[in-house]
Amino acid sequence: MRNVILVLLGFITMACTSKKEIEKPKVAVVISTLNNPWFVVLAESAVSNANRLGYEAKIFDSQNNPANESNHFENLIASGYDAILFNPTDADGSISNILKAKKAGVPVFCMDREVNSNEAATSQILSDNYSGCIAIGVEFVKTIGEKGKYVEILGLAGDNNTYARSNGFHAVVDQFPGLEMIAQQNGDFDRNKAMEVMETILQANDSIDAVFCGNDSMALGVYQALKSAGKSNQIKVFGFDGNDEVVEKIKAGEIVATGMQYPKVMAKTAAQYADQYFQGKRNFPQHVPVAVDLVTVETSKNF
Amino acid sequence: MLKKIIIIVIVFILGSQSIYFKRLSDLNNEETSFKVDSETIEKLYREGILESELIVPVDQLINDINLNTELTFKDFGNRMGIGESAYFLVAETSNITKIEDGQISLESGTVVDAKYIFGNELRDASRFLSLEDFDSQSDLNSLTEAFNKYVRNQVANLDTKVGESISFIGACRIDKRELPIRSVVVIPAKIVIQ
Repeated sequence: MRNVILVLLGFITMACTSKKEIEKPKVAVVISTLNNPWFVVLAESAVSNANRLGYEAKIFDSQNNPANESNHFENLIASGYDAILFNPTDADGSISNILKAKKAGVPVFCMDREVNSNEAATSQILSDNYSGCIAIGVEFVKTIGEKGKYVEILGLAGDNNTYARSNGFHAVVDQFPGLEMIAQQNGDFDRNKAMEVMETILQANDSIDAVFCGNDSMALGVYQALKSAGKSNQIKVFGFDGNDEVVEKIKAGEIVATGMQYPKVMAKTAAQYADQYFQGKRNFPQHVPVAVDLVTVETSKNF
Repeated sequence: MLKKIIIIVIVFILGSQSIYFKRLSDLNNEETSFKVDSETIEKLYREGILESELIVPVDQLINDINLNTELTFKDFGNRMGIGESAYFLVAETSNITKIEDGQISLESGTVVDAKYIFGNELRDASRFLSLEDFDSQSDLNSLTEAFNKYVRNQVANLDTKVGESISFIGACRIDKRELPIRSVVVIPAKIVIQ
Protein backbone atom coordinates (compact mmCIF):
# COMPACT_ATOMS: atom_id res chain seq x y z
CA MET A 1 0.00 0.00 0.00
CA ARG A 2 2.83 2.36 0.96
CA ASN A 3 4.52 1.66 -2.37
CA VAL A 4 1.32 2.43 -4.27
CA ILE A 5 1.03 5.79 -2.51
CA LEU A 6 4.65 6.61 -3.28
CA VAL A 7 4.17 5.75 -6.97
CA LEU A 8 1.01 7.87 -7.09
CA LEU A 9 2.81 10.80 -5.46
CA GLY A 10 5.60 10.41 -7.99
CA PHE A 11 3.13 10.56 -10.88
CA ILE A 12 1.45 13.65 -9.41
CA THR A 13 4.81 15.40 -8.98
CA MET A 14 5.83 14.54 -12.56
CA ALA A 15 2.48 15.75 -13.89
CA CYS A 16 2.80 19.05 -12.03
CA THR A 17 6.38 19.54 -13.22
CA SER A 18 5.43 18.85 -16.85
CA LYS A 19 2.51 21.29 -16.65
CA LYS A 20 4.77 23.93 -15.15
CA GLU A 21 7.35 23.38 -17.87
CA ILE A 22 4.75 23.54 -20.64
CA GLU A 23 2.81 26.51 -19.27
CA LYS A 24 5.22 29.41 -19.47
CA PRO A 25 3.94 32.70 -18.09
CA LYS A 26 1.55 34.66 -20.34
CA VAL A 27 2.04 38.37 -20.94
CA ALA A 28 -0.76 40.83 -21.76
CA VAL A 29 0.03 44.04 -23.64
CA VAL A 30 -2.71 46.59 -22.90
CA ILE A 31 -2.44 49.71 -25.08
CA SER A 32 -4.36 53.00 -24.82
CA THR A 33 -5.11 53.11 -28.56
CA LEU A 34 -3.97 51.39 -31.73
CA ASN A 35 -5.28 54.25 -33.89
CA ASN A 36 -1.97 56.07 -33.48
CA PRO A 37 0.93 54.37 -35.33
CA TRP A 38 3.31 55.30 -32.49
CA PHE A 39 1.36 53.08 -30.09
CA VAL A 40 1.21 50.28 -32.66
CA VAL A 41 5.03 50.24 -32.65
CA LEU A 42 5.00 50.21 -28.83
CA ALA A 43 2.50 47.31 -28.72
CA GLU A 44 4.14 45.19 -31.40
CA SER A 45 7.60 45.71 -29.90
CA ALA A 46 6.31 44.64 -26.50
CA VAL A 47 4.86 41.45 -28.00
CA SER A 48 7.94 40.61 -30.05
CA ASN A 49 10.25 41.15 -27.07
CA ALA A 50 8.05 39.01 -24.82
CA ASN A 51 8.01 36.30 -27.52
CA ARG A 52 11.79 36.53 -27.88
CA LEU A 53 12.09 35.88 -24.14
CA GLY A 54 9.92 32.80 -24.56
CA TYR A 55 6.53 34.09 -23.42
CA GLU A 56 3.15 34.02 -25.10
CA ALA A 57 1.88 37.60 -25.49
CA LYS A 58 -1.34 39.21 -26.71
CA ILE A 59 -2.36 42.82 -27.43
CA PHE A 60 -5.51 44.41 -25.93
CA ASP A 61 -6.63 47.75 -27.44
CA SER A 62 -8.39 50.09 -24.97
CA GLN A 63 -9.41 52.49 -27.79
CA ASN A 64 -8.67 55.43 -25.47
CA ASN A 65 -11.66 54.34 -23.39
CA PRO A 66 -11.09 53.69 -19.65
CA ALA A 67 -14.15 51.38 -19.58
CA ASN A 68 -12.56 49.13 -22.23
CA GLU A 69 -9.32 49.19 -20.29
CA SER A 70 -11.11 48.14 -17.11
CA ASN A 71 -12.82 45.24 -18.91
CA HIS A 72 -9.48 44.12 -20.36
CA PHE A 73 -7.93 44.02 -16.89
CA GLU A 74 -10.81 42.00 -15.44
CA ASN A 75 -10.76 39.54 -18.32
CA LEU A 76 -7.03 39.03 -18.45
CA ILE A 77 -6.74 38.59 -14.68
CA ALA A 78 -9.52 35.96 -14.89
CA SER A 79 -7.79 34.33 -17.88
CA GLY A 80 -4.61 33.79 -15.88
CA TYR A 81 -2.20 36.25 -17.46
CA ASP A 82 0.98 36.55 -15.42
CA ALA A 83 2.19 40.08 -16.24
CA ILE A 84 0.83 43.20 -17.93
CA LEU A 85 2.86 45.56 -20.11
CA PHE A 86 0.64 48.58 -19.88
CA ASN A 87 0.13 51.86 -21.70
CA PRO A 88 -2.59 53.58 -19.61
CA THR A 89 -5.49 55.67 -20.90
CA ASP A 90 -5.59 57.95 -17.85
CA ALA A 91 -2.99 58.98 -15.26
CA ASP A 92 -5.55 58.80 -12.43
CA GLY A 93 -8.34 56.60 -13.83
CA SER A 94 -6.02 53.70 -14.66
CA ILE A 95 -4.68 53.33 -11.12
CA SER A 96 -7.63 51.23 -9.92
CA ASN A 97 -7.08 48.77 -12.78
CA ILE A 98 -3.42 48.37 -11.86
CA LEU A 99 -4.36 47.86 -8.21
CA LYS A 100 -6.79 45.09 -9.22
CA ALA A 101 -3.94 43.32 -11.01
CA LYS A 102 -1.63 43.89 -8.07
CA LYS A 103 -4.19 42.36 -5.70
CA ALA A 104 -4.35 39.34 -7.99
CA GLY A 105 -0.54 39.04 -7.89
CA VAL A 106 -0.07 40.22 -11.47
CA PRO A 107 2.79 42.73 -11.92
CA VAL A 108 2.11 45.75 -14.15
CA PHE A 109 4.87 47.59 -16.03
CA CYS A 110 3.76 50.96 -17.39
CA MET A 111 5.15 52.05 -20.73
CA ASP A 112 5.34 55.65 -21.97
CA ARG A 113 2.41 57.01 -19.96
CA GLU A 114 2.71 57.61 -16.24
CA VAL A 115 0.07 56.98 -13.58
CA ASN A 116 -0.14 59.26 -10.54
CA SER A 117 0.73 56.65 -7.96
CA ASN A 118 3.98 55.11 -6.75
CA GLU A 119 2.15 52.26 -5.04
CA ALA A 120 0.41 50.68 -8.01
CA ALA A 121 2.68 49.67 -10.92
CA THR A 122 5.75 47.50 -10.36
CA SER A 123 7.72 49.96 -12.49
CA GLN A 124 7.03 52.81 -14.93
CA ILE A 125 9.26 53.07 -18.00
CA LEU A 126 8.74 56.52 -19.46
CA SER A 127 10.24 58.85 -22.03
CA ASP A 128 12.16 61.64 -20.34
CA ASN A 129 9.70 64.18 -21.75
CA TYR A 130 10.85 66.98 -19.47
CA SER A 131 14.54 66.75 -20.41
CA GLY A 132 13.68 66.21 -24.08
CA CYS A 133 11.69 69.43 -24.09
CA ILE A 134 14.47 71.28 -22.30
CA ALA A 135 16.67 70.43 -25.29
CA ILE A 136 13.92 71.65 -27.63
CA GLY A 137 13.56 74.82 -25.56
CA VAL A 138 17.28 75.55 -25.93
CA GLU A 139 17.08 74.96 -29.69
CA PHE A 140 13.99 77.18 -29.80
CA VAL A 141 15.85 80.11 -28.18
CA LYS A 142 18.94 79.59 -30.34
CA THR A 143 16.78 79.55 -33.49
CA ILE A 144 14.45 82.48 -32.97
CA GLY A 145 16.68 84.51 -30.64
CA GLU A 146 15.80 86.00 -27.29
CA LYS A 147 12.97 88.20 -28.59
CA GLY A 148 9.81 87.15 -30.35
CA LYS A 149 6.21 86.01 -30.16
CA TYR A 150 5.29 82.36 -30.03
CA VAL A 151 2.37 79.96 -29.73
CA GLU A 152 2.24 76.72 -27.73
CA ILE A 153 -0.06 73.87 -28.79
CA LEU A 154 -0.53 71.54 -25.82
CA GLY A 155 -1.54 67.88 -25.92
CA LEU A 156 -4.42 66.34 -23.98
CA ALA A 157 -5.56 68.01 -20.78
CA GLY A 158 -5.10 65.52 -17.93
CA ASP A 159 -2.23 63.64 -19.60
CA ASN A 160 1.01 63.83 -17.58
CA ASN A 161 3.10 63.88 -20.77
CA THR A 162 1.34 67.08 -21.83
CA TYR A 163 2.54 68.91 -18.72
CA ALA A 164 6.00 67.30 -18.51
CA ARG A 165 6.70 68.49 -22.07
CA SER A 166 5.30 71.96 -21.52
CA ASN A 167 7.15 72.35 -18.21
CA GLY A 168 10.47 71.30 -19.76
CA PHE A 169 10.03 73.76 -22.62
CA HIS A 170 9.09 76.61 -20.28
CA ALA A 171 11.97 75.83 -17.89
CA VAL A 172 14.18 77.26 -20.64
CA VAL A 173 12.04 79.71 -22.59
CA ASP A 174 10.70 81.52 -19.52
CA GLN A 175 14.26 82.55 -18.63
CA PHE A 176 14.19 84.88 -21.65
CA PRO A 177 11.71 87.69 -20.92
CA GLY A 178 11.82 88.94 -24.51
CA LEU A 179 9.98 85.80 -25.63
CA GLU A 180 6.24 86.34 -25.40
CA MET A 181 3.70 83.51 -25.56
CA ILE A 182 0.68 85.03 -27.32
CA ALA A 183 -1.48 81.88 -27.35
CA GLN A 184 -1.53 78.51 -25.60
CA GLN A 185 -4.23 76.03 -26.61
CA ASN A 186 -4.89 72.30 -26.51
CA GLY A 187 -4.56 70.35 -29.75
CA ASP A 188 -5.23 67.03 -27.98
CA PHE A 189 -2.20 65.39 -29.70
CA ASP A 190 -4.39 65.34 -32.84
CA ARG A 191 -3.28 66.57 -36.25
CA ASN A 192 -6.65 67.90 -37.44
CA LYS A 193 -7.48 69.54 -34.13
CA ALA A 194 -4.08 71.29 -34.06
CA MET A 195 -4.57 72.48 -37.63
CA GLU A 196 -7.95 74.00 -36.78
CA VAL A 197 -6.60 75.62 -33.61
CA MET A 198 -3.69 77.13 -35.54
CA GLU A 199 -5.98 78.46 -38.26
CA THR A 200 -7.98 80.32 -35.61
CA ILE A 201 -4.85 81.68 -33.92
CA LEU A 202 -3.52 82.93 -37.26
CA GLN A 203 -6.73 84.88 -37.87
CA ALA A 204 -6.26 86.78 -34.60
CA ASN A 205 -2.48 87.29 -34.69
CA ASP A 206 -0.39 88.88 -37.44
CA SER A 207 2.99 88.54 -35.87
CA ILE A 208 4.11 85.06 -34.80
CA ASP A 209 7.71 83.85 -34.92
CA ALA A 210 7.41 80.23 -33.80
CA VAL A 211 5.10 77.44 -32.64
CA PHE A 212 5.98 74.74 -30.12
CA CYS A 213 3.79 71.63 -30.36
CA GLY A 214 3.53 68.91 -27.70
CA ASN A 215 3.77 66.16 -30.31
CA ASP A 216 4.62 65.65 -33.97
CA SER A 217 1.08 64.94 -35.16
CA MET A 218 0.15 68.42 -33.99
CA ALA A 219 3.34 69.88 -35.52
CA LEU A 220 2.24 68.44 -38.88
CA GLY A 221 -1.26 69.92 -38.46
CA VAL A 222 0.22 73.31 -37.54
CA TYR A 223 2.62 73.18 -40.49
CA GLN A 224 -0.32 72.44 -42.80
CA ALA A 225 -2.23 75.46 -41.43
CA LEU A 226 0.83 77.69 -41.90
CA LYS A 227 1.36 76.43 -45.43
CA SER A 228 -2.27 77.13 -46.36
CA ALA A 229 -1.87 80.66 -44.95
CA GLY A 230 1.40 81.14 -46.89
CA LYS A 231 3.37 81.56 -43.66
CA SER A 232 5.33 78.31 -43.46
CA ASN A 233 8.57 80.10 -44.39
CA GLN A 234 8.21 82.78 -41.73
CA ILE A 235 6.98 80.83 -38.71
CA LYS A 236 9.25 78.16 -37.23
CA VAL A 237 7.65 74.89 -36.07
CA PHE A 238 8.94 72.59 -33.32
CA GLY A 239 7.47 69.17 -32.46
CA PHE A 240 8.07 66.17 -30.22
CA ASP A 241 7.99 62.37 -30.87
CA GLY A 242 10.37 61.58 -33.71
CA ASN A 243 7.67 60.88 -36.30
CA ASP A 244 9.22 59.81 -39.65
CA GLU A 245 7.30 62.46 -41.58
CA VAL A 246 8.57 65.19 -39.26
CA VAL A 247 12.16 63.95 -39.47
CA GLU A 248 11.87 64.21 -43.28
CA LYS A 249 10.51 67.75 -42.93
CA ILE A 250 13.43 68.64 -40.64
CA LYS A 251 15.84 67.36 -43.30
CA ALA A 252 14.00 69.50 -45.87
CA GLY A 253 14.19 72.57 -43.59
CA GLU A 254 10.39 72.79 -43.19
CA ILE A 255 10.24 71.98 -39.46
CA VAL A 256 13.05 73.03 -37.11
CA ALA A 257 13.32 70.29 -34.49
CA THR A 258 11.67 67.40 -32.68
CA GLY A 259 12.49 65.11 -29.75
CA MET A 260 13.11 61.50 -30.76
CA GLN A 261 11.36 59.06 -28.45
CA TYR A 262 12.15 55.35 -28.38
CA PRO A 263 9.00 53.23 -28.03
CA LYS A 264 10.98 50.08 -28.91
CA VAL A 265 13.39 50.70 -26.02
CA MET A 266 10.52 51.25 -23.59
CA ALA A 267 8.75 48.07 -24.79
CA LYS A 268 11.96 46.02 -24.64
CA THR A 269 12.73 47.23 -21.11
CA ALA A 270 9.18 46.45 -19.92
CA ALA A 271 9.39 42.92 -21.36
CA GLN A 272 12.82 42.40 -19.76
CA TYR A 273 11.48 43.59 -16.40
CA ALA A 274 8.58 41.13 -16.68
CA ASP A 275 11.09 38.37 -17.42
CA GLN A 276 13.18 39.39 -14.39
CA TYR A 277 10.02 39.39 -12.28
CA PHE A 278 9.27 35.82 -13.35
CA GLN A 279 12.85 34.89 -12.36
CA GLY A 280 12.17 36.20 -8.85
CA LYS A 281 13.32 39.82 -8.90
CA ARG A 282 11.02 42.13 -6.94
CA ASN A 283 12.93 45.38 -6.49
CA PHE A 284 12.47 47.67 -9.52
CA PRO A 285 12.89 51.46 -9.72
CA GLN A 286 9.44 53.07 -9.77
CA HIS A 287 10.36 55.49 -12.57
CA VAL A 288 12.82 54.71 -15.34
CA PRO A 289 13.38 57.63 -17.74
CA VAL A 290 14.30 56.76 -21.32
CA ALA A 291 16.43 59.33 -23.13
CA VAL A 292 14.86 61.61 -25.76
CA ASP A 293 17.28 62.86 -28.43
CA LEU A 294 17.08 66.23 -30.13
CA VAL A 295 16.61 65.98 -33.91
CA THR A 296 17.66 69.04 -35.92
CA VAL A 297 18.85 69.43 -39.48
CA GLU A 298 22.42 68.85 -38.20
CA THR A 299 21.61 65.64 -36.28
CA SER A 300 18.87 64.30 -38.58
CA LYS A 301 21.33 62.06 -40.46
CA ASN A 302 21.52 59.90 -37.31
CA PHE A 303 17.80 59.13 -37.37
CA MET B 1 51.37 61.28 -14.88
CA LEU B 2 51.82 64.92 -15.92
CA LYS B 3 48.13 65.09 -16.99
CA LYS B 4 47.08 63.70 -13.63
CA ILE B 5 49.11 66.34 -11.83
CA ILE B 6 47.63 69.08 -14.03
CA ILE B 7 44.08 67.92 -13.35
CA ILE B 8 44.75 67.75 -9.60
CA VAL B 9 46.07 71.32 -9.76
CA ILE B 10 42.96 72.51 -11.72
CA VAL B 11 40.62 70.82 -9.28
CA PHE B 12 42.57 72.25 -6.32
CA ILE B 13 42.57 75.79 -7.74
CA LEU B 14 38.89 75.74 -8.68
CA GLY B 15 37.92 74.02 -5.46
CA SER B 16 39.90 76.42 -3.26
CA GLN B 17 38.33 79.43 -4.93
CA SER B 18 34.81 78.18 -4.27
CA ILE B 19 32.66 79.67 -1.58
CA TYR B 20 32.49 77.50 1.51
CA PHE B 21 29.07 76.12 2.32
CA LYS B 22 27.94 74.46 5.51
CA ARG B 23 27.92 70.70 5.05
CA LEU B 24 24.85 68.64 5.66
CA SER B 25 25.01 66.53 8.76
CA ASP B 26 22.94 63.73 7.42
CA LEU B 27 20.96 63.59 4.22
CA ASN B 28 20.32 59.91 3.97
CA ASN B 29 18.22 59.24 7.02
CA GLU B 30 14.91 59.30 5.17
CA GLU B 31 13.52 57.02 2.52
CA THR B 32 13.42 59.75 -0.11
CA SER B 33 16.37 61.76 1.00
CA PHE B 34 16.78 64.43 -1.63
CA LYS B 35 14.74 67.54 -1.21
CA VAL B 36 14.92 70.70 -3.24
CA ASP B 37 16.61 72.85 -0.63
CA SER B 38 19.72 74.97 -0.80
CA GLU B 39 21.81 72.59 1.29
CA THR B 40 21.14 69.69 -1.04
CA ILE B 41 21.94 71.82 -4.06
CA GLU B 42 25.20 73.02 -2.52
CA LYS B 43 26.20 69.49 -1.52
CA LEU B 44 25.57 68.23 -5.03
CA TYR B 45 27.58 71.13 -6.44
CA ARG B 46 30.58 70.81 -4.15
CA GLU B 47 30.84 67.12 -3.31
CA GLY B 48 29.16 65.74 -6.39
CA ILE B 49 31.02 67.88 -8.90
CA LEU B 50 33.89 70.08 -7.77
CA GLU B 51 35.38 67.45 -5.46
CA SER B 52 34.46 64.43 -7.57
CA GLU B 53 37.04 61.74 -8.33
CA LEU B 54 35.35 61.18 -11.68
CA ILE B 55 36.79 64.37 -13.21
CA VAL B 56 39.12 63.61 -16.13
CA PRO B 57 41.04 65.91 -18.51
CA VAL B 58 39.12 66.53 -21.73
CA ASP B 59 41.89 65.21 -24.01
CA GLN B 60 42.24 62.04 -21.95
CA LEU B 61 38.48 61.43 -22.08
CA ILE B 62 38.37 61.86 -25.86
CA ASN B 63 41.31 59.51 -26.30
CA ASP B 64 39.88 56.86 -23.97
CA ILE B 65 36.38 57.04 -25.46
CA ASN B 66 37.70 56.54 -28.97
CA LEU B 67 40.02 53.70 -27.93
CA ASN B 68 37.88 51.83 -25.43
CA THR B 69 34.33 53.12 -25.47
CA GLU B 70 32.60 50.59 -23.23
CA LEU B 71 35.19 50.64 -20.47
CA THR B 72 35.34 54.45 -20.43
CA PHE B 73 31.54 54.70 -20.27
CA LYS B 74 31.56 52.21 -17.41
CA ASP B 75 34.40 53.85 -15.46
CA PHE B 76 33.51 57.53 -15.90
CA GLY B 77 30.09 57.93 -17.54
CA ASN B 78 26.62 58.01 -16.07
CA ARG B 79 23.01 58.46 -17.12
CA MET B 80 20.02 58.33 -14.81
CA GLY B 81 17.85 56.11 -16.96
CA ILE B 82 18.22 54.36 -20.31
CA GLY B 83 19.93 55.78 -23.40
CA GLU B 84 22.84 55.53 -25.82
CA SER B 85 24.58 58.61 -24.43
CA ALA B 86 26.15 59.31 -21.05
CA TYR B 87 27.54 62.30 -19.20
CA PHE B 88 31.13 62.80 -18.03
CA LEU B 89 32.84 65.20 -15.62
CA VAL B 90 35.80 66.95 -17.25
CA ALA B 91 38.34 69.68 -16.57
CA GLU B 92 40.72 71.64 -18.76
CA THR B 93 42.81 74.82 -19.04
CA SER B 94 42.99 76.51 -22.44
CA ASN B 95 43.01 79.86 -24.24
CA ILE B 96 39.82 81.50 -25.51
CA THR B 97 39.66 81.86 -29.29
CA LYS B 98 36.05 83.07 -29.70
CA ILE B 99 33.05 84.12 -27.60
CA GLU B 100 29.60 84.18 -29.18
CA ASP B 101 26.15 83.97 -27.57
CA GLY B 102 27.60 82.63 -24.32
CA GLN B 103 29.56 79.93 -26.14
CA ILE B 104 33.27 80.12 -25.30
CA SER B 105 35.45 78.40 -27.91
CA LEU B 106 38.87 77.27 -26.72
CA GLU B 107 42.17 76.61 -28.48
CA SER B 108 41.87 72.95 -27.44
CA GLY B 109 38.71 72.57 -29.56
CA THR B 110 36.39 72.48 -26.55
CA VAL B 111 33.33 74.73 -26.50
CA VAL B 112 32.16 75.86 -23.06
CA ASP B 113 28.44 76.64 -23.11
CA ALA B 114 28.06 79.12 -20.26
CA LYS B 115 24.58 80.27 -21.31
CA TYR B 116 22.30 77.29 -21.79
CA ILE B 117 22.76 75.45 -18.48
CA PHE B 118 19.41 73.68 -18.32
CA GLY B 119 19.94 69.96 -18.94
CA ASN B 120 21.01 66.85 -17.02
CA GLU B 121 24.72 66.98 -17.86
CA LEU B 122 26.13 68.00 -14.47
CA ARG B 123 23.47 66.20 -12.43
CA ASP B 124 23.98 62.86 -14.14
CA ALA B 125 27.76 63.05 -14.59
CA SER B 126 28.17 63.52 -10.82
CA ARG B 127 26.70 60.05 -10.04
CA PHE B 128 25.53 61.77 -6.87
CA LEU B 129 21.86 60.87 -7.21
CA SER B 130 19.94 57.74 -8.04
CA LEU B 131 16.42 57.25 -9.36
CA GLU B 132 15.42 55.53 -6.12
CA ASP B 133 16.05 58.81 -4.26
CA PHE B 134 12.94 60.36 -5.81
CA ASP B 135 9.24 59.65 -5.42
CA SER B 136 8.43 60.90 -8.90
CA GLN B 137 10.00 62.22 -12.06
CA SER B 138 8.66 65.67 -11.29
CA ASP B 139 10.60 65.67 -7.97
CA LEU B 140 13.76 64.85 -9.88
CA ASN B 141 12.96 67.54 -12.46
CA SER B 142 12.41 70.12 -9.71
CA LEU B 143 15.80 69.37 -8.23
CA THR B 144 17.44 69.60 -11.66
CA GLU B 145 15.80 72.95 -12.35
CA ALA B 146 16.90 74.41 -9.00
CA PHE B 147 20.40 72.99 -9.37
CA ASN B 148 20.87 74.41 -12.88
CA LYS B 149 19.68 77.81 -11.68
CA TYR B 150 22.29 77.64 -8.93
CA VAL B 151 25.03 76.73 -11.42
CA ARG B 152 23.95 79.50 -13.82
CA ASN B 153 24.45 81.96 -10.96
CA GLN B 154 27.94 80.56 -10.32
CA VAL B 155 29.12 81.17 -13.88
CA ALA B 156 27.03 84.25 -14.69
CA ASN B 157 28.61 87.62 -15.48
CA LEU B 158 32.03 86.14 -16.07
CA ASP B 159 33.95 88.81 -17.93
CA THR B 160 36.09 86.69 -20.25
CA LYS B 161 37.95 87.95 -23.31
CA VAL B 162 39.44 86.33 -26.37
CA GLY B 163 43.10 85.48 -25.73
CA GLU B 164 42.63 84.86 -21.99
CA SER B 165 43.29 81.47 -20.47
CA ILE B 166 40.53 79.82 -18.44
CA SER B 167 40.26 76.69 -16.34
CA PHE B 168 36.95 74.92 -15.92
CA ILE B 169 35.25 71.94 -14.37
CA GLY B 170 32.09 70.84 -16.14
CA ALA B 171 30.22 68.01 -17.80
CA CYS B 172 29.79 66.85 -21.38
CA ARG B 173 27.45 64.46 -23.14
CA ILE B 174 28.89 61.72 -25.33
CA ASP B 175 26.75 59.57 -27.61
CA LYS B 176 28.00 56.13 -28.63
CA ARG B 177 26.38 56.63 -32.03
CA GLU B 178 28.55 59.66 -32.78
CA LEU B 179 32.01 58.11 -32.41
CA PRO B 180 34.82 58.86 -32.95
CA ILE B 181 34.71 62.23 -31.25
CA ARG B 182 37.21 65.02 -31.83
CA SER B 183 35.96 67.64 -29.37
CA VAL B 184 33.26 68.18 -26.76
CA VAL B 185 30.75 70.82 -25.68
CA VAL B 186 30.98 71.34 -21.94
CA ILE B 187 28.36 72.65 -19.53
CA PRO B 188 30.51 74.39 -16.91
CA ALA B 189 30.08 74.13 -13.16
CA LYS B 190 32.94 76.52 -12.47
CA ILE B 191 35.15 78.73 -14.61
CA VAL B 192 38.23 80.60 -13.41
CA ILE B 193 40.18 83.12 -15.49
CA GLN B 194 43.89 82.36 -15.13
